[in-house]
Amino acid sequence: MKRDIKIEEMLDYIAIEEAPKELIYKWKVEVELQKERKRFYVLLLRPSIVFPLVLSGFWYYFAMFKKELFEYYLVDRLRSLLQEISPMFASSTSTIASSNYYIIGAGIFSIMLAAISLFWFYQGNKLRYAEVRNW
Amino acid sequence: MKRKYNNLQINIKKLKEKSEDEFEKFFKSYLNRIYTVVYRVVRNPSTAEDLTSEVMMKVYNNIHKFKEQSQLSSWVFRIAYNHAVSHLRRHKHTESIDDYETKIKDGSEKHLDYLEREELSNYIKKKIIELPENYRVALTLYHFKEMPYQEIAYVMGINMGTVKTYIHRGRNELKILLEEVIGEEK
Repeated sequence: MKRDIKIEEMLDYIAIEEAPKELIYKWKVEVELQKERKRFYVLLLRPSIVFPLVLSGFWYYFAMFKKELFEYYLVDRLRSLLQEISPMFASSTSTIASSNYYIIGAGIFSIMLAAISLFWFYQGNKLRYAEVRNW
Repeated sequence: MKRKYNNLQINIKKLKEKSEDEFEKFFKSYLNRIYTVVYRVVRNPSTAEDLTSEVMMKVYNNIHKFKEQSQLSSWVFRIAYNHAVSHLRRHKHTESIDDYETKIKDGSEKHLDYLEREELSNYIKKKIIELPENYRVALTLYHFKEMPYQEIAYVMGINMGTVKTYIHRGRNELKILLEEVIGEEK
């Protein structure tokens, strides 16, 4: 025996499937996670990208400082100026800057800072893409 | 600018300002339909759930691109449809409809005469799933009630004539598939 059913009526009846209600909650959490990722990027990743640039700036500054140091020495200006401000600072800075290990030391220091900043960047990326998968 | 959706006032301006309350209101009202569009394309409930979540995020992140030249719902359905279709293309050989098969309790073990309305609707849903993708999506959208042919064409990215053809052919194929349970239409 066949049923007397209108397809149109049946199609209207079954037109819409029931979606799991937790999808709304999931969306809300995903939005929060997205915001968190953005905040994280601004607070941590962006400075870590800038970090090596700042570092190379310092490197350049010190290199120039060392080059000009000799010129200052010639007119004895730097020593007198620094000695007036801080005798300790002047002597230690000039000792370090004029030593043979200055370039090696500064290089090691730069590499160390670059490694730290790369580690920071890597960790940041890892955390950035970490998602809560189990609900 | 305000538009009515199912007696629900959705403020598009607020949506564009990323008001989460407004989005929640919209999603609560349209979640089932977004899910249905995706579901009828991919035919797998768990995949449909994941894709629906992605669609919701896509809508949330791209609402500023909505030009208000169509209904907001149609724009969202279009995103849902395209997302589901592109997923299907990417995973053509890995998807199965096993989940769907287990979800729908098949009433065919009983004699069809004794099927209750709920079981019968499940049976028809199963038959809809057997229709070609374009037919079942066009039929689904058409039976969302408020969707005119023009909006369906917009969602599916085809012209109105093709939409009418898909709906007509889909209905005919469904009649053939349901021949054993459904009598002549009056």
